[in-house]
Amino acid sequence: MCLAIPGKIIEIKGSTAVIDYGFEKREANASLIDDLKVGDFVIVNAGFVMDKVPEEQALKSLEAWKNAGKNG
Amino acid sequence: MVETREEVFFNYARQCLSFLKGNARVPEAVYEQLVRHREEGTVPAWDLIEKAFINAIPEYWKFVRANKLDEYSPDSVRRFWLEHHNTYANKECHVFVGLVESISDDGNGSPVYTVKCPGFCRKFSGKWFRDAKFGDRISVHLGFASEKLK
Repeated sequence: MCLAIPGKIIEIKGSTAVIDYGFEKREANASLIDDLKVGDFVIVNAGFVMDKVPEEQALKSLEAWKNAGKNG
Repeated sequence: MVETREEVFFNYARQCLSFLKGNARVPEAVYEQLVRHREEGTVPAWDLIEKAFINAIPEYWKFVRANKLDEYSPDSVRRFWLEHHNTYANKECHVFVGLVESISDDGNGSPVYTVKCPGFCRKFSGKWFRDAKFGDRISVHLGFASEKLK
């Protein structure tokens, strides 16, 4: 039910993080999570970074989304 | 101001609109209308809520009937979010209640609340509930503060 696409932080400007989803880049507010770094994989909801995701889990999830697109 | 059930429902539900977007059973136009309500700070009508929150609404009826509550009462909606929602929702979507420990800002003019909940402490955005004060008991859902509780 609640699926979010993980993205990778490629830049942090103050309280804003630029996140690369592979197919597009978007900005999100980074003020809710401490210690975010460039290279972290994160989940975003309604314009805010909600959580960090372990890289391995993020890559698996991204793979599943790619395949969902192919089948759908 | 009189509180309505629509208002209370949307206080908790506006933070999960992105999860409706990919749902084939929710028309794109319904999603877009709700996003507009969220951006403009207005409250959607109940029939729009029913069309959109197709997982929560059947659970709401179930909860109201099982507990013989008034389905039109804002307090029934609040009790649904606080007492029933976590029994069927994914763990990452749970609603929590906690105390505001400190208040900072998000760099965009909205408050950020550090909230102490049972077992954890984390930050929640006050973008849609801006009036919390230090020590207030508030509910939080999906990264956002929902409302102050009595």
